[in-house]
Amino acid sequence: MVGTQAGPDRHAWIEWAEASAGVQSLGPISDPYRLDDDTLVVRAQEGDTAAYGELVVRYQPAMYRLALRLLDDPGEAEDATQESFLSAWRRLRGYRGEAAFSSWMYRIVTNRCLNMVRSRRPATSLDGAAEEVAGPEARGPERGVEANEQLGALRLALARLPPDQRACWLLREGEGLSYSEIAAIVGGSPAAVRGRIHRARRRLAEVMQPWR
Amino acid sequence: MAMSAEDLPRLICGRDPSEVWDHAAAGTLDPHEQACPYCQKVVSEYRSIQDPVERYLRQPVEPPAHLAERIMSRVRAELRPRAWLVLPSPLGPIRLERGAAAGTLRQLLDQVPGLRARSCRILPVEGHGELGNEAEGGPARRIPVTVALTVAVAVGMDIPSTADSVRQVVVEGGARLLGLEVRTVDVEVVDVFEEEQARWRRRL
Repeated sequence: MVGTQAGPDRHAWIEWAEASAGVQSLGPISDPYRLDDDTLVVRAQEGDTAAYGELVVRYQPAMYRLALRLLDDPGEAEDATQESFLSAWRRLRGYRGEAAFSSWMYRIVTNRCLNMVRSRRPATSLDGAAEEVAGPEARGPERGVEANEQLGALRLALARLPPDQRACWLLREGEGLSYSEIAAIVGGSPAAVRGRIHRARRRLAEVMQPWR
Repeated sequence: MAMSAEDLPRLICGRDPSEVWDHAAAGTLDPHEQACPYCQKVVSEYRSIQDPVERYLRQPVEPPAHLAERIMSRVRAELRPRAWLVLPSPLGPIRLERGAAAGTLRQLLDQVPGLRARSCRILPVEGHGELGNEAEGGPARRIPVTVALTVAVAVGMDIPSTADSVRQVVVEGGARLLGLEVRTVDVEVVDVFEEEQARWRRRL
């Protein structure tokens, strides 16, 4: 089989391309990092795995971050991220670009994580480890200890939010998305998303009250 | 608009509590929100969790090393239907995967300034047979092809002359690197973009 390695070496190839394009110098060799998502998506849809690889590199930090915060388990978050990118690759031909690629990926990851959370048995749910958060009255004297305990209390409070509220809250506060973007990701109206996020915020404020 | 069960009730003063919260977070509270006791209650709720929330979200989260490689090795292992180009050569036909051929043309086009090649399809020119006729040992002669491209061009590029460069690169590169007889090159400009360099220059 003849692959992309055929022909002159890369340097000669570029000189030739420069001459063909009628320009003096092309400057630095172009690389996929300068390509926009739309270009990479179209290339990937036509089977270009290198283009898809660049999308994976570009978005895996955000997708893993969301998965980890939703699942609170590094192993599960890794599985969810991997399966989501694989599923996106399989469904890529059907992606018509109605939403940004990043929003489409957020939707796939969010749905997968919510399904994983819902399929957990209650006994092994992520808040099973600690029944109640120790209040500030039980804290140690050092500020660092207090800060860590406060953070622990917040994580626990987040874990106890209804999963759809937690997902909306994380997409807003953690990923900085707009209400309409979140609505497109989780379904429902932007007003309903606003409602879910505000309920989550209030619940967190309520749980964290002893720490004020 | 009708209110659904999920929508938020307004504060007594008529404001949307989630908007007040967002304004507090963005530091854009208006005079009403700064003075109204109902809005101030929301602001104080925001402030009560602002610090731990910011610390929680600032904690670095790094994906495991090699996660991208693991994803890509599974992607590459997925079977996809392949389309072939069969090219005659003195020592027997060469089978060339059409996606790989298109990738080669795209790589060439990536060298053209102010251009991003998106879709690149290699199609037989009508009436000249099939490209992947390998069952019969491949075509005895070169099959002329059409290359159908969609491209995005940088703002301010001269589109007709860019299209000419595209055609030249595809015809010459197709012949030289792939042994293709490119009869026609259809170019569709589907998008324009701002080059980083152009943006940078404008800031000077």
